[in-house]
Amino acid sequence: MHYIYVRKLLPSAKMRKLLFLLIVATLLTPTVSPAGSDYAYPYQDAYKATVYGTPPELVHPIKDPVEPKLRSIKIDGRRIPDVLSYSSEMFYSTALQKDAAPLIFVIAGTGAEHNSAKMKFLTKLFYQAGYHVVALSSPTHMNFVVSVSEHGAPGYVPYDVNDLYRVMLWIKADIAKECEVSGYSITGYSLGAMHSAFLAHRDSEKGDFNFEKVLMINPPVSLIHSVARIDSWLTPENLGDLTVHEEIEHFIEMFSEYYERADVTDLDDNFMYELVTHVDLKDKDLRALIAVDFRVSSSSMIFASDVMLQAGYVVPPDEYPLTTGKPMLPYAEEAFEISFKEYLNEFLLPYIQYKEPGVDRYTLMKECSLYAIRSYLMETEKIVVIGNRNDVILNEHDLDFIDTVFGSRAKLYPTGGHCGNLMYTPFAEAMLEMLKP
Amino acid sequence: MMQRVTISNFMHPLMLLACLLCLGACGAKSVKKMDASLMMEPTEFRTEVNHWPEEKEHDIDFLDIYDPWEPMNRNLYNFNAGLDEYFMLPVTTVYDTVVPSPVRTGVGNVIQNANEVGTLVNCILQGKVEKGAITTSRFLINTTFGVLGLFDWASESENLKLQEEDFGQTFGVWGMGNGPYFVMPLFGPSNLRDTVGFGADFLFLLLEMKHAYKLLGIKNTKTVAYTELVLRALNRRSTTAFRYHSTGSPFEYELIRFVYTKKRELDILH
Repeated sequence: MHYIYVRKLLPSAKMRKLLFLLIVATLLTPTVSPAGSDYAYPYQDAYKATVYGTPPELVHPIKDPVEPKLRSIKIDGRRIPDVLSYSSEMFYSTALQKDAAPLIFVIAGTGAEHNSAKMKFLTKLFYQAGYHVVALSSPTHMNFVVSVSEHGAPGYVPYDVNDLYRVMLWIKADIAKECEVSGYSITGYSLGAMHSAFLAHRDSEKGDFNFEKVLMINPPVSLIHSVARIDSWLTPENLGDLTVHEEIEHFIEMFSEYYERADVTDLDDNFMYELVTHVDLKDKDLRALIAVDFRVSSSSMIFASDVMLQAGYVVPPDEYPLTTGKPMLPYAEEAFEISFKEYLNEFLLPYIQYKEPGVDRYTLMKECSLYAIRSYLMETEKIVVIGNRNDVILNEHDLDFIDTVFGSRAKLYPTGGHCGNLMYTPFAEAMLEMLKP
Repeated sequence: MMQRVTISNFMHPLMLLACLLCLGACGAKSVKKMDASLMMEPTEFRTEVNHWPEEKEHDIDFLDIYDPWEPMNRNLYNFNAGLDEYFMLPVTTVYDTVVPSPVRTGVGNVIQNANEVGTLVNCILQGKVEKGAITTSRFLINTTFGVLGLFDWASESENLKLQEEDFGQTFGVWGMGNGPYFVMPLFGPSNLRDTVGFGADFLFLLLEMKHAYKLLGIKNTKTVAYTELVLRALNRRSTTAFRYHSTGSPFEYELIRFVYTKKRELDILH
């Protein structure tokens, strides 16, 4: 009896719910723009977004994702020290379509490799959208510095762009032998976005690629300013009484505690996400974590560069040749201590002046910023920007620059921090949309 | 006639291995380029300011791990990296391509199930009752319902997740220190205590295999044992995501040394 009563009631309850939903939907439709309504990225906090990224359940699903192929380029006869010989080839990855298709180059962010998590995601995303994909490590990644960089001192955008351009021409020629390419586009995130813009500018003078679209994802406006900002998070201004080492030990303690508590058996990507989201990190800690991560990659870069040039910056000249058995921790510690500003003043600028007398600090800073190609960016319709208003590497001036120079060609989300929402469906779909001719 | 059969029997697996290696060797497709500007000829450039290491107390204490055999260890690390690149990975690639994924999972499960016995023994030696109980339940469930461990039904339950205990951890629980860090040839990061533990694990495994074969009525134990050891190696490499020189850091040796030591320290506490 009771059972029948419930069964009879169900349809009408369902109907009422449906009706209610319909009314709500109709009421809301005119007021909420379609772009805004589906954007519900979970982290409002810019630092949380930057560190946590996109929760696994919200990552844009890619059906039957392609497994990118590993390839390499080796410069014949290049002098490479024994201790870095494992990096003698430049590694990159490709995902090529069977039939004729447009090709997109993807450039990684500072210190990142061609197959980092973000790069893999972008490779799979663009491949599924029908592109041939070529994914390149950042010129600031050790492997790039050691294997193909002309000057061996990364961070100076004009040199890095030269290196990228040369490599891309080689790859273009090699891939043309394997499949049909109907056109070229270029993209990159973070520093890779800045490189993309400069590469497009270079191409506009040389005409090798005639890029159809240039998509800049979360670009810095001034490399030096953005890096200085990150570096400042390891100063007392952010850390208070703690030294950097105490802060790192604090992280290790917190992570260890979590490891104990969570009964972890697998150290996979999900574990990393679980770890950072389950440990109570304050904004100050998140800032420090971003900065420490940056220092770890910059110390790799600085050491590799110093060894390639034997410039006597971290490794004393009388310690060459470095043998493969030589303990490296003392160098690692020294290199970790070096801020980007110090690297710039003590290594990069003097080296560029050695190569090109007359370049001063101001020129260097300008050449490493979008100001150097401002008018080109302003008048070139095919260049588009996607990013976030609360990107932690941008300040008010940078946002003004993006708004003024790109206008409606820039799509900025309110939240997402620096690349935090890169894998979030609305962001991923917007990237594809913006790449369309 | 007899002689010829023997030779071809002997040659066959070798030929197969050679073919498999060729198949697997297609890792990175490499292209050589010539460019005179990219020779990295030495320059006269020297920085005026330097950050040379000084003889002093180490700043980053937690990274400083007792490693008196470091020069040898570093070379062993490189040796292992080479072995991995030119032998283990190509062979594993073939294993992953030729053997269908469900079969590989089954192989992995059977091995994992057999390993529960070792874990259980170490739980007992360390007096860890709860972990021992979980391991026993897992072993019973997976051996019976999971058809000799082919299926890992136990892991479906939140309370019956895989536990891992080995002799190295047992020695640690008993109060034995790490001893010097040591990179085992072929097997990678370890320390003196864990290397001894690894030896004990291996002896225990051989003992276990011997008894298992007897129980299953396997006659040709030598062939089966070698096959099992090869499968164990393939399974282990195939399910380990780690790639040498993939950290993008020239200080990978130091990072791995730290992560290994910290992980073992926590595993012993746990």
